[in-house]
Amino acid sequence: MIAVSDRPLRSAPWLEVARGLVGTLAFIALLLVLWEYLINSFDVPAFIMPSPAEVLRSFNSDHERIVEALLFTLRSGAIGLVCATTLALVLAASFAASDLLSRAFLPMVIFVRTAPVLAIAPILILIFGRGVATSVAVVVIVAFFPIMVNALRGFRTVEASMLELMHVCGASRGQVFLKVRLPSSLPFIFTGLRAASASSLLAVMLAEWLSGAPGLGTLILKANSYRELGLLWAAVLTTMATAFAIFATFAAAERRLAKWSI
Amino acid sequence: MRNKDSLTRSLAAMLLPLAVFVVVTLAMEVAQRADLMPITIPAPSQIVGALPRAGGDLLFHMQPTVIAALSGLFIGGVLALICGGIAASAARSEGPIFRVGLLIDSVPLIALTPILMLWIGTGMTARITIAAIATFFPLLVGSIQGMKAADRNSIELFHVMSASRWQRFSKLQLPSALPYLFAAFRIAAPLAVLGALIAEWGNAERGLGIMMVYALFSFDVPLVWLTIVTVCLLAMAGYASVALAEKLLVGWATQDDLSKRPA
Amino acid sequence: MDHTLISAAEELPGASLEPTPAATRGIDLSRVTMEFELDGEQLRALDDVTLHFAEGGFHAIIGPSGCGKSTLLRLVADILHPTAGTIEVDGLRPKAAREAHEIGFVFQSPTLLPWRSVRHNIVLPAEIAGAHASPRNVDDLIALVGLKGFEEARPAQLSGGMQQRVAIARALVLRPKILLLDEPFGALDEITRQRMNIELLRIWQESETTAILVTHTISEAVFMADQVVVLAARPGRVQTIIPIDLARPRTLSLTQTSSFNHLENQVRGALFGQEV
Repeated sequence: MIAVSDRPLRSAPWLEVARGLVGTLAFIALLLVLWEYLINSFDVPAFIMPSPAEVLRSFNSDHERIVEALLFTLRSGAIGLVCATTLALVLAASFAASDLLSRAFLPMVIFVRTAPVLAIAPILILIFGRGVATSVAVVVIVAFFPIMVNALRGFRTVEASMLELMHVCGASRGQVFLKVRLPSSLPFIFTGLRAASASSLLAVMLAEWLSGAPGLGTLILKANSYRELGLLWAAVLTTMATAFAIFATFAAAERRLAKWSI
Repeated sequence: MRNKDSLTRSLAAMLLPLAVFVVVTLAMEVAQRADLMPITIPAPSQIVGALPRAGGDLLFHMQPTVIAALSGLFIGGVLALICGGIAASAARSEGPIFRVGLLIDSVPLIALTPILMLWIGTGMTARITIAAIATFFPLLVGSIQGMKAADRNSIELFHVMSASRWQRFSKLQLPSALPYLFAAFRIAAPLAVLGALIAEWGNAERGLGIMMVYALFSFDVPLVWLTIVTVCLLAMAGYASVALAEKLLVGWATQDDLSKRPA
Repeated sequence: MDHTLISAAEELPGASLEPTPAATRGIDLSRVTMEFELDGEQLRALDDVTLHFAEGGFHAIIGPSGCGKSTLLRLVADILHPTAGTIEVDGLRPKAAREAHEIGFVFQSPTLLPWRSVRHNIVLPAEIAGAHASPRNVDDLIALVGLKGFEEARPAQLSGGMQQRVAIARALVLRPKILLLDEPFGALDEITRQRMNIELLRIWQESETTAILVTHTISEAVFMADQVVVLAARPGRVQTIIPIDLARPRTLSLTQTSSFNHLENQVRGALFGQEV
């Protein structure tokens, strides 16, 4: 008989994660040391780049403000992402199910997708006011398209013979969706989610920038205008770390799913 | 005859979405006139109505935005092509180059903008830089993919035909890279406009972003909408011109288009 | 593998105890025409096809590409609906036969769900049918198609031939009366294909179904079938029907005999006409 393809044995996933974490931390520590050294030896003025010690000091003195702002931003982003995903999946499923619907509305969706949807943020501030609602709405319009487009692609890439098989088995539309279309499009949906999550943080902060809601975006803007350079850098670094963590999380989930579904 | 058929067919395919667009526009108009809509959603006629009084301003503010976006797209494209070329010629450098691109891309532009402006001022240079950064990653991905697009069999074929390096590049690698490059530029064109806009929101005296914010602060609802529609049309024009060039130059390549249903 | 099974094909038609009249057993196509619209042009895939597939037999359909052989299978399986004419499966319309889970279908690609194990792929039809079905014992079925020990494997871990075994087991799980095979081994290499063909014959005899195999390999059609239906293309129509009176069980040595070669030549002649 034909043998099962032998896949190389892999070390335990937690070990891999731990190794990656240690590597990243070491890299960051090295950067910090280099940064401190450069600042001190070349006497770089603080407005160009404060020293790590200075940034650490403001992390220490302002951590409450930073954490508060971060949580606020994350909350708006998470709510927005959930709403966007729900909306996107429902619409993608309806487009996949109805030819008429997709012929009528899909061209418009594709058309709107080419516009920089973030530019609509001022309109959303007009409509939703200067609170969380605007942040959520901005995330929804930004995250909706990548998730919808990828989910639809996933729903549609199901093999024709698989659908014929389900038909021969007498499967209902609901069964086809739950047993075939949805699971086979999960990797696509997560690709969309990864793309969406990256732009979602940008979207929330931009909304805060324009609306003044008390999140990271506003904190950065304020620190910038009051020339609190330590705080500015602390907030920017927090943002970068958060963006990276979100991206890494979704990318890991996507990889896992892709492996599972091949 | 075939061509004529496909033309009428694509016209017919346009009809339904166009009808939907017209109905939505009319519905907005009617709803606003019947006072069913909040004041923040103007009737389409009110948006267009703002054009005569604000047309001059619009042109005045459009100029720097367009310059920043176009220059940013150009610089981002050149940088991405150089990096893609390096990645293609030295396989080892591909991973690091890609990761640096990913790192830059994952930093929210908003966090970068204030710091960049501290470094290089708030002028046009900063806005072009930000637009270039906004476009860099998708362009990098496109150029790396494009440089690798020629398949192994064709490369072997060119080798057997004892083609020169230049022949291989001009007759095989460049044509097979073009579809990827066009796809990347299609995505990047609207991003360049967005980058310019974000930079203007950060700090500028002139530009569509600033015009938008002024209109927002003075609660001139139709003008907010008008500037946003203008920005969107600009971005779409960028997208459309790349798509048009793509159709003319690489019409042979099939593109991944959601409006096409699977057979 | 066990090749010492009795030749069940000839005995089955009479052995049926069900009350249906003998004339309506098996699969009947009468005056079936199928038209498609492709790029605005009417295309006639099948033109006035009348055919009878005897119950319990193994039938092969062969023809050039575009002769509508896959279309014919899809009509029987109620995936497509004929433009004109009628189809009956044991006296039932294809839709009724399909809803009674009497049809098993194997495609050229294995069409497995990648996230399900072998076992869970095989039980998929039973899962969909729900309470209406009385599925076969899955372990027996896995043993029948020679996949013992691979129950929990994922499709990606299996070779192409093994994936196709899973597809065959899945087609048989609800004890269908007919088994439709659309070039099931077309994507496999010649050596694996020979082996799979012999196994398919064994499985077919054990499962007591009426099998229709679409193929474009002449030797495969002759080796497998009781009768070979030769179709002509544009429009798809029946060219001729060639009975294959070779004894079962069939083994590889059969392909060396002159009677086998003679039948092959007969099919080739029907396919190519004066060109031969």
